[in-house]
Amino acid sequence: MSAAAEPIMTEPTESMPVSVRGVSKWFKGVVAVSDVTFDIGPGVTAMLGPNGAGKSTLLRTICGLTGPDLGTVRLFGRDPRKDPSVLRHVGLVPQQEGTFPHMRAFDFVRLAAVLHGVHDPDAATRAALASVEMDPDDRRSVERYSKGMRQRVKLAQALVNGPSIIIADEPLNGLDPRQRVRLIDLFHSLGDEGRTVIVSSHVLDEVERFGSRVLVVAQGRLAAEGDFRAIRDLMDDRPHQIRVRTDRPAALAAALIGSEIAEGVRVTGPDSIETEVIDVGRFRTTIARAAADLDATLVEVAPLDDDLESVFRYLVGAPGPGGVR
Amino acid sequence: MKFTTLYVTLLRTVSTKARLAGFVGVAAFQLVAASLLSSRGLRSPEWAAAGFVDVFGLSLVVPLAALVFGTASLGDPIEDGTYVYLWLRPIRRWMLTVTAFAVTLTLVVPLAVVPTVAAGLVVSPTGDLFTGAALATVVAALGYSAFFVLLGQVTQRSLIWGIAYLLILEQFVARGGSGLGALAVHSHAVSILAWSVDREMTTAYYGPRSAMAGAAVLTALFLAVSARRQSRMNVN
Repeated sequence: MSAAAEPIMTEPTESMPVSVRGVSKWFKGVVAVSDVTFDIGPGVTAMLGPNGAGKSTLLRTICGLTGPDLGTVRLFGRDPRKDPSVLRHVGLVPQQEGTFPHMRAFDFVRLAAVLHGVHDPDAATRAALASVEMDPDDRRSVERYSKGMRQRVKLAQALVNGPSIIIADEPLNGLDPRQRVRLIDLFHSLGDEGRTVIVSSHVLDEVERFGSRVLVVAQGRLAAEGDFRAIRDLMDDRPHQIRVRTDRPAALAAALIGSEIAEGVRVTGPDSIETEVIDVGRFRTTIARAAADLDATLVEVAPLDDDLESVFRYLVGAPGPGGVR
Repeated sequence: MKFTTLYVTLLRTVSTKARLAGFVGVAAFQLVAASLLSSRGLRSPEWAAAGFVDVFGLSLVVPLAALVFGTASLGDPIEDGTYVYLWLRPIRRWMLTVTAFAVTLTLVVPLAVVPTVAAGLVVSPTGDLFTGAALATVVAALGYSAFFVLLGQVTQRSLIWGIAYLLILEQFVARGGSGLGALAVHSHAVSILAWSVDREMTTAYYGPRSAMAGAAVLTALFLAVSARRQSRMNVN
């Protein structure tokens, strides 16, 4: 058991925790989200996109805080706007900073526990605050906390009811590196417990640490979803960049050019070459055979662009993703 | 338990020191003004008291208190982004409207209704005036509180919209006869006051039963619209 005292709710009848179908949302003629469809199951899913891509609007729509102009959102098969009872299974860490004036962390989290109908709100509150390393007996009001502390209190109120769906909008904002590591571990443990955890971020490094399952949102559209390495493999129109380290780079480069499998070959150092290939599988066979023929030692054959940043750059089509660090 | 927790949360949010101090000051001023008026040797103290209750209480202090506290009850959490912590919960959403209404009345009654009735009694300590002033101010408090809870929920800059509503509809349009007056909380409240002291007063178009029924309909209508909009509103 990780965060809160409450166990995972088990009542939901439909198996898919989050189901989004053809959702569009616009504000005064500006399209914020356009025809987005996806399902999210248990485990940690990271939602990545530049600032203004529509991530927060999408998360707010999933929670029911705003209704879609087109399409449907279902949590365990139920519409969160029409059926507030499904919100018993939801915990949200909103992006905004505001907290109630003069309210202590304990009271803030307890408020959530009571409104969720948690059986023992005091015990659940203490457990939730402890899970984010906050002192339940701190007399200060939340307003006086640092940004990182407020963020942790917001997370505690989202966990206090033991939700099976946890939605966190940029939850690592304002946290120091140690707290980031701690919270990322916490999200992982929540996902491992079978909870559905959706975490948005515009910071690539963060998303990579949340895991490989991503939803990439760009300009209000879902650019891709799934494991980002699998997404990269599916991009047939983008040659894979591969680095080969060997004791005979020039000879191996010449062999690759002759094989016509590589679209470009560069000798980048005394023991390395870089090449671009479309068919990675054939390339691995070819280079192994060429190395054997040339009596060359292969030290490393490593992809250079199957990291999240490269995948994101390809999907969004931006050389340096706007707003994404 | 949910209602109590919501109630305490909203009450703390709304009752800032500045607001409380402001209306305590207004109440004190009302009582001082009433004392000065009563010391002037009035020919008809009861009529003067009714006029005082109407001008200071029903037209000014009660609607202003309802405006300030009512619009803040939902408007403050909506504007500062904390409403999500109340709205995104497995509760019946009309409960938010009812709680905001209860919080508003909790503050309007002691800070506006009681001082207004007390000031009226300072001018003319009669049973008829007490009955009329108490009923009229309570009716006004109910109607205005319901309306301003709704206004705080559906508008930004609700204080400005609220003042415009008071000046235009309650004080100007309502003078256009009993038909238009039916839309104004003040017309119903002042009708009750006028009946109690048996005096003609501006916009007092209705008998006591009609006035109370009309005010009840307005109050219920404002609350119903607010409760219905809870489910349809976009929360930030």
